Amino acid sequence: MIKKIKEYIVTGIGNLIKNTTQEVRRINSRYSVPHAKMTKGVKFSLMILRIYLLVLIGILCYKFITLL
Amino acid sequence: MNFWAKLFYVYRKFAKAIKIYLLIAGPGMIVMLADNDAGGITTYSVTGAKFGYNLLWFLILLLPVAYFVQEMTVRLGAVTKRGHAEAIFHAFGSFWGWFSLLDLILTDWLTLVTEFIGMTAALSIFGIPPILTIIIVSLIMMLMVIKGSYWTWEKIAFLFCAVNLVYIPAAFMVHPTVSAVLYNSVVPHFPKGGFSNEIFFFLMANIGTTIAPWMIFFQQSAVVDKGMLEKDIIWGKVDTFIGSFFTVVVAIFVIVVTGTLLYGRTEIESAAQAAIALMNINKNAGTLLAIGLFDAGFLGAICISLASSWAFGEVFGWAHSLNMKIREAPWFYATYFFALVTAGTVVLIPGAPLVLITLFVQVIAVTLLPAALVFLIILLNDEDVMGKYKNTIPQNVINITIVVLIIILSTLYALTALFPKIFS
Repeated sequence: MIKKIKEYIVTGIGNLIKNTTQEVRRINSRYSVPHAKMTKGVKFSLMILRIYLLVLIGILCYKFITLL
Repeated sequence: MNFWAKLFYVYRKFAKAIKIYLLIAGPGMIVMLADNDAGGITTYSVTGAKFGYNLLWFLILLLPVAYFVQEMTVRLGAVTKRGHAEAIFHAFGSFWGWFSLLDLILTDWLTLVTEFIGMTAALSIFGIPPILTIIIVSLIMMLMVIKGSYWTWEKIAFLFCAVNLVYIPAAFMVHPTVSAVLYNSVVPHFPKGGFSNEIFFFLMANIGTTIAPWMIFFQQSAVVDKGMLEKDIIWGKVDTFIGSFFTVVVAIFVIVVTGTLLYGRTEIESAAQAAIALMNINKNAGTLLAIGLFDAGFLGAICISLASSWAFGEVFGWAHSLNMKIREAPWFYATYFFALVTAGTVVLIPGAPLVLITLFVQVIAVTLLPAALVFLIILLNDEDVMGKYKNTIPQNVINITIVVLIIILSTLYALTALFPKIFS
C-alpha cells in the first residue's frame, strides 16, 4: 500500500515537472521573437535596465551574504 | 429652441455621460483605492504621527504621479486587449517576460502576506483571533468570484472601496485645525529642523506606496477583462483620475487623523498601533482607523491575488476571466486561492519572519517596478501597437520624468531599507 502511494506521488511529481517543462518550452518558442520595434532608444533602455538590475541583484546578494 | 428645451438637452447629455461613466468605471477606481492598502495606511499613519500635517503638500503632488502612470495601462489594455504580463512577453520576448512574471508573482505573494498582517492586526483590536480573520477573509474572497461574473466582483469591490472612505468621518471626529490642514496642503515646506534623512525616508515611502508594480498589471488586466474598447479610453481616464483623487484624499485624511491626535505625543510603528493609541484618546476615531486598516488590507488582497492569477493565465494561455465559472477557468481560480491561502497561512505560523517579509517586499518591488514602467513607456511609444493612442510628446515628457523620478526614489528607498545608515 505504502509502496503504491509512493509510486503514485513520484509519478505525479514526475508528470508535473514534465508537463511544466513542456509548457515553458511552448511559451518560450511562442515568444521567441520580440515584437517591439527595436529602435536605438529601446535597445539603450533595455541595456540600462539590464545593468540596473544586475547592480541591484548584486547589492541584494551582498546584503544576504553579510547577513549570514 | 427655448431656454427650458436647451436646459433639458444639456441635462440629458449630462445624464447620459454619467450613465456611460458608471458602466465603464471600475478598474481605475478600485486599483487606486486598493493602492491605499495595509502598507499604505501604515505609512500614512506613521507619517502623520511623526510629522503632523507638515508633509500633506507632498501627497497632493502624488495625485498626478499616480494618474499619469495608471492612465497608460488603460490605453495599453484597451488597444492591445492584452494584460501587462502578456504584453511584455509579446513585445520583449521570453527573457523579460519570465523575469517580469516570476518577479510579479514573488512581489505579489509577499505583499499579500503584508495585507494579511494588516487585516489580522486590525481585527485583533476587536478581539477576533487571526485564524478566524483569515478564514472569514478567504470565504468572502471565494464568494466574490464564485458567481463567475466580473460585474458582481466589481460591485462587491466597490462596497469595500466605499468603506475605505471611513477616514473622512474619522478626521472630522478629531476636530483638526482646518486652516492648518489647508496651509500645509498647499504650501510646500518641511517640519521644524528642516530636511533630514528621516523625512527623506518617509517621502520615499509615500511614493513607494503610491505606485506599486501590481497596480500596473492589475489595471491593465482588469481593463481587458472588463472588455473596454478604444472608445472607452476617455472614460477609463476619467475613472483613473477620480480614483487618483480619492487615493490622495484618503491618504490626507489618515494623516489628518493621526497628525491631529498623535503628533508629538506617541511614537508608533504601524497603523494597528495608531488605532490602539487613538482609541485611548478618541474611541470612535480609533475604531474607524482599525476598520479602515482591515478594509485596506482586504482591498489590497483581492486586487493583488487577481493581478497574479490574470498574469499567469495570460502567459500560460489558461482561461483567465472573472466572467468564467470555476469549472471553466480552474487554473485561474486555483492560483487565486492558492496565493490567498498560502499567504494567510504564513501569518499564522508562530515565529514567521513577518518583519523581514515586510522589509523584503519593499526591496523586491524595486526590482520589478523600473522594468514594468520602462516597458510601459516603450510600448506606449510603439506606433505599430498603439496607433493614434501612442504617447504624445507632452505625455512622454511628463511620463518619462515621472518614471525616472520614481525609479531613482524607489531605488534609494530600497537601499535605505537594506542599509539604514547609508545616508547618515
